Amino acid sequence: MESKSYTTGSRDNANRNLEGSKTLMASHFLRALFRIQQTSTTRSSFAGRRRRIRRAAYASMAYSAGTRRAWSRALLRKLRSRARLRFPRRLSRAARPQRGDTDQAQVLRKLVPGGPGMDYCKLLEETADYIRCLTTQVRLMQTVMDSISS
Amino acid sequence: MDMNERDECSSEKNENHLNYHNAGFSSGWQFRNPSVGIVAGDQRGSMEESFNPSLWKLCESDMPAIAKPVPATSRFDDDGWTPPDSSSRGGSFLPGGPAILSPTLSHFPADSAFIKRAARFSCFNAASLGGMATPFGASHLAGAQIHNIDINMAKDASLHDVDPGEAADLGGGGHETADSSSKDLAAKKRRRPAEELEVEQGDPQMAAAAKRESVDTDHKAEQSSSTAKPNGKHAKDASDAPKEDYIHVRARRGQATNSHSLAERVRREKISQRMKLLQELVPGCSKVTGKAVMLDEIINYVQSLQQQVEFLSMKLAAVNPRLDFNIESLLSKDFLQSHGGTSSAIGFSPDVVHPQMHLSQQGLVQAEISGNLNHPNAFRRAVNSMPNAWDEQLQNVMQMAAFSSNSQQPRTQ
Repeated sequence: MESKSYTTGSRDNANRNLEGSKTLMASHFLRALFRIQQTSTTRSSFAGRRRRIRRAAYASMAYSAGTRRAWSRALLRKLRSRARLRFPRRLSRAARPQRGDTDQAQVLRKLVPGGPGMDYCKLLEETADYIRCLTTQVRLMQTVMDSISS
Repeated sequence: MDMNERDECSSEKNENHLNYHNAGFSSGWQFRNPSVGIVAGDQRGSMEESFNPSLWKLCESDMPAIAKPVPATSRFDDDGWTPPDSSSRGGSFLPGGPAILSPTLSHFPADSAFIKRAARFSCFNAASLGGMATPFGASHLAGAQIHNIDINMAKDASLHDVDPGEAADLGGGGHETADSSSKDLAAKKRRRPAEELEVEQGDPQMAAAAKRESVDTDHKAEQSSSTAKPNGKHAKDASDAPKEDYIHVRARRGQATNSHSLAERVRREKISQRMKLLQELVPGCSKVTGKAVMLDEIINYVQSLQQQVEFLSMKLAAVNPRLDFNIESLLSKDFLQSHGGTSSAIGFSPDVVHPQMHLSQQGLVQAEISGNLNHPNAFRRAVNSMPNAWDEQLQNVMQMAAFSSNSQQPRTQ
């Protein structure tokens, strides 16, 4: 997958960062959609196309966040290894069994990519950034959806 | 908010002082940046945060200078921060800032006298800082309620300084009036502003500044900030957020000084900071208190967002083959320019979230669609802005969803 140069906004606050990363995310996602549409034939299944689009969504999220974030790094790793996205991980990579973890913390770890590898404090931080990115991606997809159908 | 005020007042100082402190502060600044930068919402803010600790450290390093030599904060050594020897040139230049602070401060023998003078200087310095500090100084002093003496003196001295500039500044704009008034006073205030610099910011944090010393100097600094004790708790709470998460943590009054408990306290404060951030991100969580409920909300929100991604990717997959992507690439330019998207898109997203949160996991996709349809506002908005083609596609999508929901589901849980 091609990758644009990452925004140098690692030191900016979240809002400024988001502006630059939005453009990155949008361009990446649209290009991926275009590729999917080109390669999809009448025979390709709906489910397969859906999976590819979903993967493209997470990929554009990860690219927009770059390597600045632990969750995006973990996500990129998963994408590159072509493993099934977000599924039972065969290698528990850098996963120390966190003791003193509440159930909720464990659930959160499963949700956020790269969760098992961090301590609770870092997990909260990564969750915040992940939520931000997810909301941007969802809005992006909805806008694409709207513009396509109108 | 304290941080915003300090942000304004020290933004000017930053340019002058940053070169002094860049070396020492870079690590601290980066360390604090994720939380502070987000909260303050400004790069200036993060710089300002890095600046404050210097003031605290200098401030408190001089207070225990009474009892023991200054370099309690060894971080400053490489910055060329000079010990109180070079007191001669301390008063000459205003923008020297922190380098001057220590020399001039070394003049102050007594704590109470120091505090009084510092409070007096605060108003002067507030004006001389270009008026940006004026609202900070005034409201700061008022809010902190530091000392009776300080308030009286500050009020007397600051009335004429603050009034002309304060209204405008508090309004948010007029530096000019404050500047003119500051220039008038600037001549007299050469020395004082420097001292005031750190006192002004140190005042609310004097008690907290004490925090940053090692436990040994606890008592000595306690004496110097004894008058600040009544406000100690408030000030400390207020300054907890901007305080750097260093290993140098001081025990609060009446708390254990065990190194473990100190580290734990730092940890807990970090965690609470992050939880506050999350609270702002997750909609509808401002009233929720308590970690457990908050975590539940966060988990639900993340799950719902991921479900939305699934749902939208399904919709896009359904829509995809119909469209000519040349059109879409043209549209993409409009899209990129106005990323906010259509109103329906924006209105759609948060409204969709809540129905989804109540849905069971089985038959998720069907439920999502029906949930969307059942949500009148979002649907109406969407329908109003979309042509009929959307309705047709929605029906198609529903059929496909009904078909596919049985066949798969990568569940995220």
